[in-house]
Amino acid sequence: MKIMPTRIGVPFLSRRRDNLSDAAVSGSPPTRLSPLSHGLDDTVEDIPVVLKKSNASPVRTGFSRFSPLKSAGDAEATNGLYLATSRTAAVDATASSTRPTVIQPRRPWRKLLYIKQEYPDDYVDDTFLMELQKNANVRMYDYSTVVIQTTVITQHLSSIMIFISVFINLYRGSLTGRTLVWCSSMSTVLGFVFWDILNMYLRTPEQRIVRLNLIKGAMFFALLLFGLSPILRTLTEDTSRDTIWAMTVIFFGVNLAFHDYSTGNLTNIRFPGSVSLNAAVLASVLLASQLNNNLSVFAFLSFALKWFALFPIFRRYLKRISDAASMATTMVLALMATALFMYINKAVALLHIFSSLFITFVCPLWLIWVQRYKNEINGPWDEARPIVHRYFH
Amino acid sequence: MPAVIVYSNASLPTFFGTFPIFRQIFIREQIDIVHGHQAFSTFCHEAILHARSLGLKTVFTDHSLLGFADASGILLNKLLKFTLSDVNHAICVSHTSKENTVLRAALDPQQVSVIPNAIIAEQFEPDLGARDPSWVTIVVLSRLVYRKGIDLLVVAVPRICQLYPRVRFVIGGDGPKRIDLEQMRERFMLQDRVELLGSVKAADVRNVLVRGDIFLNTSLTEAFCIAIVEAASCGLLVVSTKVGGIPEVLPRYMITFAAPEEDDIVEALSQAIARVDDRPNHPELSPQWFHSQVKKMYSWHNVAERTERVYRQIIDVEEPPLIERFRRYYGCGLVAGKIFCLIAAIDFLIGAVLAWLWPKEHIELAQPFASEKYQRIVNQNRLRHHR
Repeated sequence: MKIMPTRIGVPFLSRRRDNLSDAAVSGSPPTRLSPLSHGLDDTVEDIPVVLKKSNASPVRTGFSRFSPLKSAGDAEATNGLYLATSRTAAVDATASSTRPTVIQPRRPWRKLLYIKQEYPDDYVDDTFLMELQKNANVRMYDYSTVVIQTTVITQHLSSIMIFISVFINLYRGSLTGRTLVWCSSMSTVLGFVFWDILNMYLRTPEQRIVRLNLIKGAMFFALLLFGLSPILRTLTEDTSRDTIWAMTVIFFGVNLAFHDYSTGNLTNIRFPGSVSLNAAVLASVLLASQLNNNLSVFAFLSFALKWFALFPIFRRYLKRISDAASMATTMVLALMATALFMYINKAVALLHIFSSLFITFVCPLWLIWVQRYKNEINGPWDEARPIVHRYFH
Repeated sequence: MPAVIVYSNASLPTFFGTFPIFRQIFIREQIDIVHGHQAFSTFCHEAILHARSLGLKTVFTDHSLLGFADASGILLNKLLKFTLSDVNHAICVSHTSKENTVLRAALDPQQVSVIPNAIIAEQFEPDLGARDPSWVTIVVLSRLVYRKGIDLLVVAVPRICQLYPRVRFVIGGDGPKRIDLEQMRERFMLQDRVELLGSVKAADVRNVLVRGDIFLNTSLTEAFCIAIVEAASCGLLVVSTKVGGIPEVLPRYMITFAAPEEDDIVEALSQAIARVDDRPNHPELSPQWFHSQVKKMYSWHNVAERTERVYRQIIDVEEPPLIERFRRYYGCGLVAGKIFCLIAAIDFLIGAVLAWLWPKEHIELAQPFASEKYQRIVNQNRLRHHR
């Protein structure tokens, strides 16, 4: 979808017309116009200015303080009208250029500083704001595309919900650390195989990574985490539980806000994404410190790392290869989160359903509706962007 | 004025802190019109606000261009709207700047005059002896920052040096982009052809300019660009990017325009270099002619005359009631309008308190300056000096 660059109308026309006619009457002494001495260009250009006086539409008043952009719409209409009349006038003029009683107008105003012009310094010409462009590089969205794009947000929201429900189950004892370790390890292995195949398929630079090294790194990391889990378990013993819950909510909010939702970047975790990951890890450590045995802490934290560092990568790959698969994942995650929360708190589950639906179906409509208020202004005053080819580099 | 400098000659806004001292000055010097310059100056905004609270006439001159997209632009535009919604007249330095200011502050364009800057042409006279005739010298004088398009300069210099073995560059000014230029010079072994002067004092600008044949300006945004006027006055051919108000400043025979793009700048410079060789054959391209023309175009006398016209125009305008001022501020925005009203109201109240604390009658008026006597003494001294 593309949008036509619209030239804004000049809302100062009525006033200026007023100006000009005054000047034409009282200003320069009336002389006879001879096309020979003036050149044809001047005749065509100048005569309409004089004739315009007679065709002028009623002068609008009450303009004392206005935003030039607000009245753009109706000014455009006036502008069109004016152009039409002046054009016919020009034809008239060339047809009968020997009309005897035409007053010679002033030389047309030029947008220059180095010449002395017979116009006052506060003169406003027709060409005022001529070079202004409105919404020249705005991209219009269409509904279905935006709906598909929102899936990344609902996916992430659902994944946070699932993560919290896993914690609650672990906390209540309905899920043991051992089960969680097995489940998360199995899914990680599956994800790894999937990732490997996809790298071959998409020919991304990651296929060069030596798999053995990756596995070695993962093992080392798991052992380290296992050794640290008793420390992490007792980390916030002196902090009140309410504080922990509140902080967790804040950090998950940060995670949601800064998550890297773009699909372009498959492996690297860069600035906003890194903030998001850090917030998630912090929240998980806070939650893990509320658990009561070391194995649970280890299981929960390793699950947290996989869930927040690796699972988004998986989702990005999926999005890259097919929209349908991504949609399916969204559905599965949303339903899973709802189902898990049904046992914990029905209100939260319902809230989750509604917010997912809202984000997926209502927010795109909202965005498209709000686009009508888009008011991007470009003009000669904008800072130019230097274009450099660097032939020598 | 007692103000602490925070960052590069800028002080923090004090809102009402300067009111007492401004009021003293206004009354003591019997001021009728307060004229502030520059949208970035907190001092200017405060002076105008206080002057309005005291019922004086105000004029504002804007020297800058600002876009509408970035955060600093949006914030500053709001501030500008605040000040400009209650000034009697605004002055811009170019027509493009006027368009920009009218849009930024939602002003009535009839309330904005265009009065360009000027130079003291006598200080920028050409000096043919200062050039080295065996070279074609291209002079660049600007702060070495991104906004001045130094990135373009960095890529254009080696290409021009490769194309024209007789061309050399003299680059004056300092800034963060200087490193890029130095690296470029090392990399292409141009030490003997690219001279980096560092920062140049205002008094030395002319001496640097007259060494050159061509002046290059690569700015990315510019409301007026006094540098190219100074260069043209010194008789240099000007090559400049076509941005902001620059197309309005000089006639076509003095300036060659380029798009802010590497190839186009090289192309425009090539044209200008060809014209340098052509110059002796054309009297209308001679440095002397350039100087005499620029002298006619831009003089401070002319600026003063036109500014005085603005003053005369506003001095008799009837003062609107306070509620009308509030109405104008209120129209500045949904939230900002209310804040602006609040600030204006507080300022007005402070004005009332100050009038009670230091009544107008108790402030000593300054003696009018005896300019005739001064002139006489100066003349006498000059005569004595000559003897």
